[in-house]
Amino acid sequence: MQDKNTFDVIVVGSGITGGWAAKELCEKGLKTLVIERGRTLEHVKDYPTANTPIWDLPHRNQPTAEDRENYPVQSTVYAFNEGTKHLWINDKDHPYTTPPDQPFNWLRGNHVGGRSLMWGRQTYRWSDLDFEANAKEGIAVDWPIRYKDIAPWYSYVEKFVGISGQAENLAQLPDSEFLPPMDMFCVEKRLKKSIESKWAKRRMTIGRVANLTKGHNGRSACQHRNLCYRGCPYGAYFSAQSATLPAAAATGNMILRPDSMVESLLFDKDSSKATGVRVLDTKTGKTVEYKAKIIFLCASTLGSTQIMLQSKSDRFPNGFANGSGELGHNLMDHLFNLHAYADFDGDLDKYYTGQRPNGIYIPRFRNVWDKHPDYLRGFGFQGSASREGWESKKGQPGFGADFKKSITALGGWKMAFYGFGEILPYHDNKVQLNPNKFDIHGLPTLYIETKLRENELAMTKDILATAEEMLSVAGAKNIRVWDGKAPMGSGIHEMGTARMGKDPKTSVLNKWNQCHEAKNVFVTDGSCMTSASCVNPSLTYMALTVRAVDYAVKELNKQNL
Amino acid sequence: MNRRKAIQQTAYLLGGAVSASIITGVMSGCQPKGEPDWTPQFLTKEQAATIGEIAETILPETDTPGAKSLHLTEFIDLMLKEVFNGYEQLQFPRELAKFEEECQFFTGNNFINSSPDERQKFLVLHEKKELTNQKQTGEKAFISKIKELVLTGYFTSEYAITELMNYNPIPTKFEGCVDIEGLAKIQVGIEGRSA
Repeated sequence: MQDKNTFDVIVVGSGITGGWAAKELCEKGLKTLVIERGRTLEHVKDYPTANTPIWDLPHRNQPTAEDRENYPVQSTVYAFNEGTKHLWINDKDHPYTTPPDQPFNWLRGNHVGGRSLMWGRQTYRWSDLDFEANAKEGIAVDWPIRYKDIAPWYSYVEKFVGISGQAENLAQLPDSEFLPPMDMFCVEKRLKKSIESKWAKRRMTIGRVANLTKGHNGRSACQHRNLCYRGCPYGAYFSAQSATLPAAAATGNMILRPDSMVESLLFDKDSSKATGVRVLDTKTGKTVEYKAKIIFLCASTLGSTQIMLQSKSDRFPNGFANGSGELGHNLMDHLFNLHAYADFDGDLDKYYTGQRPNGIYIPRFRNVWDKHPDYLRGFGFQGSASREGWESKKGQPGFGADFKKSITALGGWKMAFYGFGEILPYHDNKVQLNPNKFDIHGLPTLYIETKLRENELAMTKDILATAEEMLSVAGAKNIRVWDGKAPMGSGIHEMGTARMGKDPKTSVLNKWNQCHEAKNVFVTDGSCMTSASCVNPSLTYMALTVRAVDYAVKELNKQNL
Repeated sequence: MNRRKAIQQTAYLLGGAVSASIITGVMSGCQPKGEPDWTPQFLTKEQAATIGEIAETILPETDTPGAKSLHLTEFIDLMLKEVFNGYEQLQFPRELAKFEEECQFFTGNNFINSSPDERQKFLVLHEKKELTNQKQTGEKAFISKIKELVLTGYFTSEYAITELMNYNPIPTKFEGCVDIEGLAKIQVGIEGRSA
């Protein structure tokens, strides 16, 4: 290194993929600068509410009117409350826009570690059912990889992360490297029996979750408090803070620079390579340039794409490496807020101990063995049983001494299902830079245009119908289905906008997550996704990142980069 | 209003020591010393007194603390001030006034000046009528809002969680289906959720 602003590699973003890029690059001996737009946030030290009981929260965990004003979008998330609001981005400081009749919920943090601190921790592998879908159905473009390309990297990531789950040997949902599975509730066991006997090919399994059911790699086992989204003082779920950043730091090769927003990538058209990044220090307001041989964009789907859109030059008049014109297009998410609830009789002599930070999972059974007449692709269900506690007593009629006595009685069993559906890639679901609207630091903001279309609407109907049917067949009572009509983005699985593909004319990245038009820039977060599957995507992002780092370093050593 | 002041007041009403001594005082037959130094920040003093009586009718002092011992009026006032939105805040005093009108019609007096027995009778009938209306209009009735606030304050209080329910802050393990012996208490964790 000649000077303090030159590194071997720059990683933009310190979250679920940035942390992995940092770890892998640093462990391979490369001097790595990790640039994070948000504030610093240290493991354990910066989890102020990790142990705060609800009676010590002034508003008993409810967001205030002022919170809803400062976080109009973030406050809609299930994971936003008085105990977690400090982990969600201030919408007023960092706005974005959409057409008035086409809302989009962009849900994120603004700190080291990003959403790896607040994520739902559900981790599932893709299969070739997912990778082959575009090609088989003539939709968008073909993935440039298949399951066999990523399988060893799934294993590699899972062994470090620690995934609790149950092997099921399902073709459409390959097993991971598992730690012991979590337990099911009584009612879930009954439901599982009912579903699997009525539909021989359907399966209900325990959720595959990045919580440790035993101590792993120096991190302690989950204490089953179900407070993960406040930050875990035990390090018992996978986050950049608990696992990858410490590993990177331990090598001595990482410099982490928070409060630093990348304004643009620097490009040298003679060598056809990016040379570095221009960064705005949000604390001092000063701009600084950093140089490196390789750049990894891990700034989250829209974060990375926004940087690329901002990086215009003579060579790239439409945004960095955007010869295809696909940058910003093909934005996807998962169908979300599609629920079914029901009550179950019996098992009143059974209860549970602990608060499980996980649910059940019903893998995709649509368009797997047979073709559904109304739509392509499919969905999975998460869900959870519980015994009714005090929350339901709020609506109970009655007053006085007898009422008071009755409301602390333990209620009956109930079950909830939540469907997650695959949204197709559409060219017109897209983002671009706002010409005249800037954030609190004077940097551009995004204009996001998305719509659910015919396939999604047809799938939504079936999600609710199948949930109802499964509950009904199992003998559930008082079944209610709910379509929350959630805008895209609500699934918090926004992906696409810098897709991988075989052809530089129709994609931004090649099969190694390399920009077709700038071989030393790798984009490995959700922006690279060519289709969405119906499973939670973070495990796939992590595996793609590690695979890309392995390739990048091999290329560097061969002097190809 | 000053947020710091709201938090100070909340700390007063949520402070462990305060709850414990008041509970002890009440359990041993002492009456709390009249009105404490608390001034409502959203409700008027008269409204706060009425809300206090409604809350106490919902959850009276029995062999376990009731709404007043647990300072639920203070909690309700804070929620109204800081959590309710502008529209809800405008509605609330109007709805309270309408509630008082109905009470007057039923018992011949406003709520505070009605006897405990009359209050109970009125509330039961009033709630029945309001719940039927609620089903048709879909809008939450005033009495439902009050009850929800009272019960939320009650169930998220340190007293209720640690004494009336099974507070399990660090369960360590999770078992999804275990036999209960005898009458089980609702299990609650740090976040105050029972399900």
